[in-house]
Amino acid sequence: MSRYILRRVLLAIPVAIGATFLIFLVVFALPGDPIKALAGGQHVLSPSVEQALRARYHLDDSLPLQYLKYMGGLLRGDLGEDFNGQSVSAIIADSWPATAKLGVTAFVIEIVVGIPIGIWAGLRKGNPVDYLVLGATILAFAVPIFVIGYTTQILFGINLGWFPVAGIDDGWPTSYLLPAIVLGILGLATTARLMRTSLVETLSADFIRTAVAKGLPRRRVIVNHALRNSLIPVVTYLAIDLGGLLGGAVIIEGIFNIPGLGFQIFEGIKAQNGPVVVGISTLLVLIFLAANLLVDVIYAVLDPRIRYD
Amino acid sequence: MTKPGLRLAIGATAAALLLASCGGGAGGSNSPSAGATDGSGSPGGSFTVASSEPDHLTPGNSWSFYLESLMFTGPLTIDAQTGETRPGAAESVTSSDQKVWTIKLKPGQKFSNGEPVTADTFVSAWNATALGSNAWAQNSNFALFEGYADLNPAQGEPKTKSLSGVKVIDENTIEVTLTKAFGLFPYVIASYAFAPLPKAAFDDPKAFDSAPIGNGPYQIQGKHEPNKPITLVRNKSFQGTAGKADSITFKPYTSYGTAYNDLLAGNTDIVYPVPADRLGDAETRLKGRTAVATIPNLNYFAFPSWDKRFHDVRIRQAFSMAIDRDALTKSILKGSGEPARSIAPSSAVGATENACSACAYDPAKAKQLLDEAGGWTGPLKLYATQYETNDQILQAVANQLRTNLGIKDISFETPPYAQLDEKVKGKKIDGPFLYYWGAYFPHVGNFLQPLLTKDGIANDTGYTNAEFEKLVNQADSSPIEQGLPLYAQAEKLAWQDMPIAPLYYGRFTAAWTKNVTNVPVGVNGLGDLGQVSVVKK
Repeated sequence: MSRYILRRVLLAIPVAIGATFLIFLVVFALPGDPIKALAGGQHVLSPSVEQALRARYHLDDSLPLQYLKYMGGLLRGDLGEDFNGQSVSAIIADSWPATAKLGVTAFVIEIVVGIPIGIWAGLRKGNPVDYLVLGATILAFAVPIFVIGYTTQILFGINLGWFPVAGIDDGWPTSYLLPAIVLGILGLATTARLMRTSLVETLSADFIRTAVAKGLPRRRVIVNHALRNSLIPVVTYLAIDLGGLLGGAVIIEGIFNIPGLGFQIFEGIKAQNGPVVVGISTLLVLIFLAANLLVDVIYAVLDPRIRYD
Repeated sequence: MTKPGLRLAIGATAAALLLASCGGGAGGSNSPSAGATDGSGSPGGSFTVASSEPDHLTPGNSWSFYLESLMFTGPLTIDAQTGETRPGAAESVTSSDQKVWTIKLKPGQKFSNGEPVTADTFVSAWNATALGSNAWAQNSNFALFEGYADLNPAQGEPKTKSLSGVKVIDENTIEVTLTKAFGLFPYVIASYAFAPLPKAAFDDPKAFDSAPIGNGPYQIQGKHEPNKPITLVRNKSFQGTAGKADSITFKPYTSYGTAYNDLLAGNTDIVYPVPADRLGDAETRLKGRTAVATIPNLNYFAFPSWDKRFHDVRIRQAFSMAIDRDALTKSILKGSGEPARSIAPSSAVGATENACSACAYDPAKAKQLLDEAGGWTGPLKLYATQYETNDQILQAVANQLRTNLGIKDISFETPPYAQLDEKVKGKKIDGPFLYYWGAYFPHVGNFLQPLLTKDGIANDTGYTNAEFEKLVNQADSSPIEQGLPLYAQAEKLAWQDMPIAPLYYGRFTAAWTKNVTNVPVGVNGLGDLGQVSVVKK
């Protein structure tokens, strides 16, 4: 098992380097002058100030040189400064807790609500319950997330007053509940559908028939045999989704005014603030790699065959 | 002189609504835009304002107008209603030739830490801002000062660190020499960008940037941490008109739509600007607790002078006359824009209404002019920056040009500002582009000079006209009153050439809760937040 994990970790290193280079390339090769974007198109910077800022952020250098300087800093644990002179590490440290709380809350909602719904529908295939779940999940897929966000904000926040409208002044969980539900709704629907389909498939597999034939009680067949096997695709999805949730939710964080990573990356892209975008994206790549590693390990635990590949 | 009347609202309906609410509001004998201190609500209390995250707090390096204007006071300020200058930290700013200016400070002023405000504290702040290698945001404000070029060389390090045109005469007197006579100089220094800095700003600039010490009516409580609210409390050392509320909190929001929703729930007191798509909602829900700011700006189509197809003035006039500005603002912009038929809106001092005759909608005349100029062949491309309603505006304009001028092949593009500007500056753009100019100060001179003179910082069309240039120069070098007719004459001349086609003046709406009154909405947007009173519960 430890050799298996080690192999996965080693594989992650070239992926991390390749991914950061690509991100760097894309962000810094974007057309348009980031110093111009810094002034927001509404203000005029004098030429001497533009020149001083370009020199300060190495924008005069060639792209490979910029990348080497950036990676040099990165290896020393220095993510650099953004174009407003704020340290990128500080920006990440500031916005990460909010994103983590929001992401984990949404993730818990996905699991606690999504999996039981999926099992419920899967066990009652073809029943009205199954169709109800199908309809509800299709609705969740079909309505754009910002519509759900604003609607629930107006309905539950302003009109009914059940939840805070925006911001994180009330702390966890009060402030995070409504945004987490909205954020988790898509993942919840996917989890439920995946769980249902996978369970239905597994239930018609040969080994289930064998288990039933050898006289095991239905409960034991479902819990020990069917569920364990049908969880594999669901777990894969959930682990990757966790990576996504922890990477910040641009739209939800914007609607509910949560000062997290999603907001920072959005502002960073808008202002062509390269250092922020590269810094946060690199962090996201690492989170995704960790999530993938987690999937691989859980696979191995759930399915012994994989371990011995 | 055209006295700048205050435009209350865009449409008659909106104006009526606002006026009705002014008269009958409960406990609010205040008019939202009169800014009168009518005493409804004695001093005290606190309120919150929705804001965006500030970049810096050192005034010379910041774009955060409202925060800075409360923490710092420049030599002069701008009256939110009349748009004229009035004393700030200085009691007078005078000149006999508009080139050498004498600034007399009010004696005995102090920073919030007790340090005296002297001529030296102003001059050291100005030198720091004007020094190009410091890369401070407000640097370009000093371009007219003598010695600016030495501090901002085209290449290499500056040889000197102080402006040769700034002299300290005595503790309370500063003499400023400009590179050329400029009658509007009092307007230039009516800004927080010209505020003084105490010693602490130079001892530890980083610490100062998060906890500035200023000479304004309010001071920061504690220090600024990224993405956390900033609370300002009354500055006890301040000797001017004291702020009414005990404290003002600026709450950072990621979007103004969210801020507006939070206002509806009563969690934030003032939101400016209300997003365009929520204006209708604000009108019905807030019942008069909204007002339209008259912040002077212009959205205009610029014609590229390097594109031969636009060389004939009749083509440019035809374009302008084929656009129905009233329909455009009514259907797309709703409350967030007003048709423009001059270079500057009436809130700018010296603006002439309907100065541009080819800005009137006349499709028949437009077609005739186009035909006389030989018609239009081939495709036409329109450009704008990627911004809220710009796509819809281009679409509507394209439709009107199709219908009224018979141009069939019209396409458009809305790239981010930085990309579009690269194309414009490189003279590579091949069609009219929709640009925005927000005036530095509310005066018609700050539209004509930057947009249409040869060296204007916002002259992106490459327009030049020697006679126009001469008139603007003459107006610039005259005292404010004498300059006004010259500016009007210059504008008239420019419209004969039609280098740009004014489209609309952007209008921004403020909204507030029942917790506050006296929100002084005017030429400066939210104007002086120190005048807002908190309603006692």
